[in-house]
Amino acid sequence: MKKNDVFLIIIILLILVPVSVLFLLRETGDKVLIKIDGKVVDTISLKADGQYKYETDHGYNIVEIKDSKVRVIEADCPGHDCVNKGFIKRNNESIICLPHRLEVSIVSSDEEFDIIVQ
Amino acid sequence: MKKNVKKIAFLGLFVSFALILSFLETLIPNMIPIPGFKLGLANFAVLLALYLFGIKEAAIVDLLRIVLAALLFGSMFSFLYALSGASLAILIESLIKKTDKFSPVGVSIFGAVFHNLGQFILAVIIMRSFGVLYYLPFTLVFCVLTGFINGFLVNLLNKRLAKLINE
Repeated sequence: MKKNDVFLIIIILLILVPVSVLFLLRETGDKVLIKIDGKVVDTISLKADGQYKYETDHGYNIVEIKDSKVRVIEADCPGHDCVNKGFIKRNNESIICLPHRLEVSIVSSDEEFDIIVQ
Repeated sequence: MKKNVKKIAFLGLFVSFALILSFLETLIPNMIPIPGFKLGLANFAVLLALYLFGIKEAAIVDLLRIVLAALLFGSMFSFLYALSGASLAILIESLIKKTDKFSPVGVSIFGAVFHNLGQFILAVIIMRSFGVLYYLPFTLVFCVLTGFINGFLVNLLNKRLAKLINE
């Protein structure tokens, strides 16, 4: 190993570890935002327990909200990465189903407006 | 002639080795909701090919690995993702290697970081949303780790194998 390698590792970790920790410590959100193809199609309160089905041009996803957490419980995509991801609950966390271009993300009420404007 | 035969034999070995590593990776549960997100262990074989032979040979090993992995245990999506990351990674790796300022460890980490960036860029384009970038810091921390391991192993094997090939 050369000196440069050590510098590289230290610099990357110095930047990334604090950012990752900050992300992990985010507070829990209170709204679920469903986007298909980059467009917001639904906003649900994280307290509204239940199952919601979304049909996209490429297939369907069933989203479940339970105990202020949200997950995708069923989908007909090939990889099932969205289902395997499990529950999310923190602000800005998201579940992404790439084959269906579906995104389930969590926002806090005051952030919601900004995101729709974007 | 003899050297050429050796080279082909070694490249074949690297492809099969990369393929085995790719398969092992599919057995590890995916923490990040991006198809095709892997630890990047297979990059070890590609990096070794880059050091022993060159960018052309490394690209061949990588492309064969990606095509075979997609056919055997992947999908169209994992193929596209692997390809977007791998092409960027190989390019960056060979550029960094040329500067001679980094050992295989540094080169490998650069490759891993850009492999991830390539995949994230494609994910943002397909999703038309930046939401996926939330996971970028975590994936980069992981990839520094695997990049380090890959580079370390290449460092160990590079000179010994080069002796064997040039005999």
